[in-house]
Amino acid sequence: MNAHLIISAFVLGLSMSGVYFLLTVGLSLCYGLMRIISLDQFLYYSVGAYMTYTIVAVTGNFWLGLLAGILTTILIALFVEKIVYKRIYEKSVMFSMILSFGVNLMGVGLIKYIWGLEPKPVKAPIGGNLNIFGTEVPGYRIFVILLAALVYLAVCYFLNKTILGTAIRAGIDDAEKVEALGINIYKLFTLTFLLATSLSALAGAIHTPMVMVVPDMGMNIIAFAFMVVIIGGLGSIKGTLISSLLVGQVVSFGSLIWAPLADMAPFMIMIIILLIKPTGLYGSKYMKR
Amino acid sequence: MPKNNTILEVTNLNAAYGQSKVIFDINLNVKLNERVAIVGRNGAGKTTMLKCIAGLLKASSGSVIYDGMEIMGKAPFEVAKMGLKYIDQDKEVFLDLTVRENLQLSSYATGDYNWDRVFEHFPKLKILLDRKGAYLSGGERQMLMIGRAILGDPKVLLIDEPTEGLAPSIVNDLVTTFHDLSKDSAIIIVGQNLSFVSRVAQRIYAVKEGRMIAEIRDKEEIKEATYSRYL
Repeated sequence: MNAHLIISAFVLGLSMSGVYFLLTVGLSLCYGLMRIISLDQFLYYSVGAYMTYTIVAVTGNFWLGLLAGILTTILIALFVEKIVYKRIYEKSVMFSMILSFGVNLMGVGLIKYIWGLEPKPVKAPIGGNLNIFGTEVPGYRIFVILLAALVYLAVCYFLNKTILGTAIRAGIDDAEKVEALGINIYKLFTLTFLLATSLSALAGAIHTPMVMVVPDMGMNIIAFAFMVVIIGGLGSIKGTLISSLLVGQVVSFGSLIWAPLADMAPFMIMIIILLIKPTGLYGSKYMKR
Repeated sequence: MPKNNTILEVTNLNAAYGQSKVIFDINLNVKLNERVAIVGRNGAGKTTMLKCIAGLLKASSGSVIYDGMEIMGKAPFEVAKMGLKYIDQDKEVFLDLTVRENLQLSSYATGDYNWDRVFEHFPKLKILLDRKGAYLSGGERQMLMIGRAILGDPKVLLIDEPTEGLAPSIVNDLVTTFHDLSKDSAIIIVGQNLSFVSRVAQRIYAVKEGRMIAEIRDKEEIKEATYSRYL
């Protein structure tokens, strides 16, 4: 294995981490605040990707596609939250898992009906390569890494420096006490759900130039996304970032060493971490179950 | 101004957890600036009663009139916004948030950003503003919970087991605090610490197995805690 391969694998791993982070930060927040497992986030990831593909195909403008993807998923998510989640927020987490998986399956069916089964390619909006220590790496991958870092900083700022973010952090600790103060917790739920949805759609949109857009792309990424959330610790943004970085590198270097290792190694790491720290790397010890 | 100065009137309140009925036809009333205690053994239904009044638990039937308005069926945040605040018995503030952030949340909810009254009752909180909830003692947490609740000038404070797990010196301070707080709000405390209840309450309701079995108004009986015969 030479230095060029290592640098390429490292940058690829970081860009995959960026996509994992964007996709899982919302999942983690949804569980942390609302105690729901929102499997429909994987549908929003796919819709973000398909809308980007469609708008790029029509207008040739990737950024317009990305925006359309986010806006479309926000509309779908508003509907899903009103019809599905508002009825089950108080119920066991199993309800949300089953229902959101149903939403996901229905959505994938609709995607197949609308866009068909054949894979769709999307051209990267940023061409060219960057030279990193003598190794040429695609500029678009660097963009994905920077975008994910920017989103991390923005989410941290929102949660730590704004009153709504503080309320969400308090709700992750104890939602009932937030309500007892006089704050409408359901508005916070909606806000968090829409934030999660937007980030899932963003993940889907920016992933399109790196993969083929297929109806099951959301289903294909579920296992890795859950590993990221569990390794990082439910409800923790910092944990989600660290575990995204870990899983991204493990998948990238794993596939470089021995292809099946890319699928196996993250599971092995997850099992080891859970044995040592059952709440995940940064799972809050204050979070009530 | 509500009729007869009654700020809270609970009539025929019933509640159940699933099939298991917990409180039966509870009737109580509280006047403006009054200090009322609800006493009873563990499992008597005292906490359930407070949570139903605050909207945190859904009552199966009955009526709760607060400040002349029916509040049964209202969401807990609406009840709190109207000025009826519930303080939990678990002494748990938001552990990952600082004292300042805990107070900011309450200010955001009520629109009351003047913390002078909070620091007047609990000057220690001013020193602890940047300390996280997780690193506060039981007494400091109780101060913060009450401090958060009095923002927005509530008319009724429902305080569940305020002395549980607190050192005797802090319990003594709470007696004075509750007397001071009642100048602005009516207070309902739920408690098993009868010596504390006797020093705070002007009127006492005794609860047994989910039923209100006595109302004690006699000052001597309250002072001597002879109402313990009902428990």
